[in-house]
Amino acid sequence: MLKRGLTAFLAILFCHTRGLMALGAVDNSRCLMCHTAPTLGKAAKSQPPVLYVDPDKFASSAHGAMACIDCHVDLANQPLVHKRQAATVQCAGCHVMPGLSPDGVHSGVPVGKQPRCKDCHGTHYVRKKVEPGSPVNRSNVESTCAICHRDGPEIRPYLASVHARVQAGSRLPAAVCTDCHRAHDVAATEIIFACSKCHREEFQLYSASVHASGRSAGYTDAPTCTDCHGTHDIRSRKSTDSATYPVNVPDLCGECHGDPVLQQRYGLPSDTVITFRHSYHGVALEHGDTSVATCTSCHQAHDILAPENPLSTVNRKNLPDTCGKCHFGANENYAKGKVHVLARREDSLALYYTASGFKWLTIGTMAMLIGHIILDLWARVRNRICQRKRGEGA
Amino acid sequence: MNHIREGKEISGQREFVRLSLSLRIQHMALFSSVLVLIVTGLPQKYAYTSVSQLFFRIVGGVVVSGIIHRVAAGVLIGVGVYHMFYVVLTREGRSLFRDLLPTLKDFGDVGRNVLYFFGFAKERARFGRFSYLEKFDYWAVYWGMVIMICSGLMLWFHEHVLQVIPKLWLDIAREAHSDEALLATLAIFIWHFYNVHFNPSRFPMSMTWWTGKISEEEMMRDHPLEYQRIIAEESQTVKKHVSQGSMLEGADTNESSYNQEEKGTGKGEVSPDVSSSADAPQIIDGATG
Repeated sequence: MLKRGLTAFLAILFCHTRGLMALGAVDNSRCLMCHTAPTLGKAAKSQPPVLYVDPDKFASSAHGAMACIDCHVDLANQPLVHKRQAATVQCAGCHVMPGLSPDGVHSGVPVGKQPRCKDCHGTHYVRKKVEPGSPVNRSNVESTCAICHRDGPEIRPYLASVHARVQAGSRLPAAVCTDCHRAHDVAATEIIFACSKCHREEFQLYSASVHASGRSAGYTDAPTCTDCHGTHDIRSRKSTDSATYPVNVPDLCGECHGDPVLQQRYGLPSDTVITFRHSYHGVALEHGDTSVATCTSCHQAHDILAPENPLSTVNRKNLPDTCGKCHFGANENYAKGKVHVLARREDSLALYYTASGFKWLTIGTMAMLIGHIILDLWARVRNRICQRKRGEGA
Repeated sequence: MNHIREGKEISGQREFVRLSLSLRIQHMALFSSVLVLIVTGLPQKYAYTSVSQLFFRIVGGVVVSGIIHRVAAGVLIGVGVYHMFYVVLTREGRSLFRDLLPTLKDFGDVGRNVLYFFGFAKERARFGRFSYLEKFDYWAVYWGMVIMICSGLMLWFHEHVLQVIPKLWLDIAREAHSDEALLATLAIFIWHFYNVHFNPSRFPMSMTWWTGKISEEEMMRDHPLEYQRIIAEESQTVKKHVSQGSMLEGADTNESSYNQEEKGTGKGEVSPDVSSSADAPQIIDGATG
């Protein structure tokens, strides 16, 4: 930080000194003699009026104290009425950006289409990013990026996200493009660290989780922030279309925990999702009671631990406390019996025999009753036929 | 089955009280609460079907349907408790209970009917006040009520119940509640509805649940032994009254037998006891002949 500040200070000092030195040679007012004519740009057909410079706006810009030729260095020795078009301004002459990475995502863009400094920061009226009018001000970053990314898969989902919405309400600083992607060395960042800049508490909880340890052991199947929360379209968990909305949580966890391939690869139990769905919690959640427990209510959201871990909320020892979050007076009875349970032999023999007892009772009873009905109807039909025959005979 | 058809021609149809007002109210409370319980309960059992989705959307979610289910359960429990008192404390109830107890004859009746169904017997079994069909219905409700109310209360008050019993028991209660619900529903909609609605001699519906009465014809056909008993009892009463010289008072009161009543059809005339009991022997001959 100090190094960066020092660099900037030296750069400014250097530029402004150069400006002062050039003042004698080429005064801005001499340039502006022509460049304040509104028709100047329009004369050159099909060109936007870039040649026009608003002297007041320029003066109030971040570079307002600088001379034109500080940037347009190639024109310094040209006659006043110069024929040559100004060469591309080299911002890097002053703005030494050590973070400007050649590996950034933008450097992967085909040559000629790569964004340049002015594409984001503007030209003559460059403003500091703290000024609301600056295209790189937090409130404008999204529309600045949208100049190119307008039709991409990012901006539109972002605009519907919780990050964009809080920003529009301007009560809290929410993430803009550059918060996650960075500004100059725009890169496909390690997302955990992007999120953790703001969501420190969640990051800490996550770091201890079984998901994080899987991730750090190199298993890229293990979920990180965006796998559950989404990327550009992150919603509040209170929003019904959020993947983390309680009703959608079983689907979300089920994406991996219900996937036979991943179940086999990591030895995950094969029936956690289906057993939940058939529990009262699952049924009630499916039909509009969002107060019941979902996966994360018991297993936690960020600091999920394996049940064998004594610190896990779903460790048998801790179940009374975990159930007690919702259930009044939960005690060790809550931990007696499998939680993710179906009436299957391998889950619970007592439950299995109850279910199969009722199954055979139902089948037996209904077979008898339906048999009786059919026989009764048959006897009635037979009687009717006999009667008719007897009637015909008489 | 000839006698059924002939029965219709008998004039001055008597009607017999099968269900007292108390029983009719008990039955109405029972069936309306059970229907509500089925409608609000089965969508939870089959929660992932489209019908269930539709149901919960219409009702407004599982919370609302849960409240309705519990209200209906309260009515059902109320009927059950009331019936216990009724069976123990009232003369009518005790008699009803006694007549509904299974007897050896019922098993014989089942055998006889089966023989009849297969053409090995000429006639159906002849029933008294309650046939084995009706007794089965009655005792099936006992079984169902005990299972459903016990397991239902456990689920209703699960937090209190879990104070003393392990979760596994609650899982068993849930399974039993769900499975017995299906059995009861099937028994009601197939067995009971066949006997009182879809049976060709009842279709579209026996009105006994509303009026409490059945016609003489039905009485002779479905409960011939009970019919004979009533007639015999009546003629004895008449004889007694005649011998005591108090026939007129006897004809006006029904105290001798609570479960019978008579009524003129349409014309509002009340035919005296004596005349109908005088007809009776002929009818029985016609019925059995």
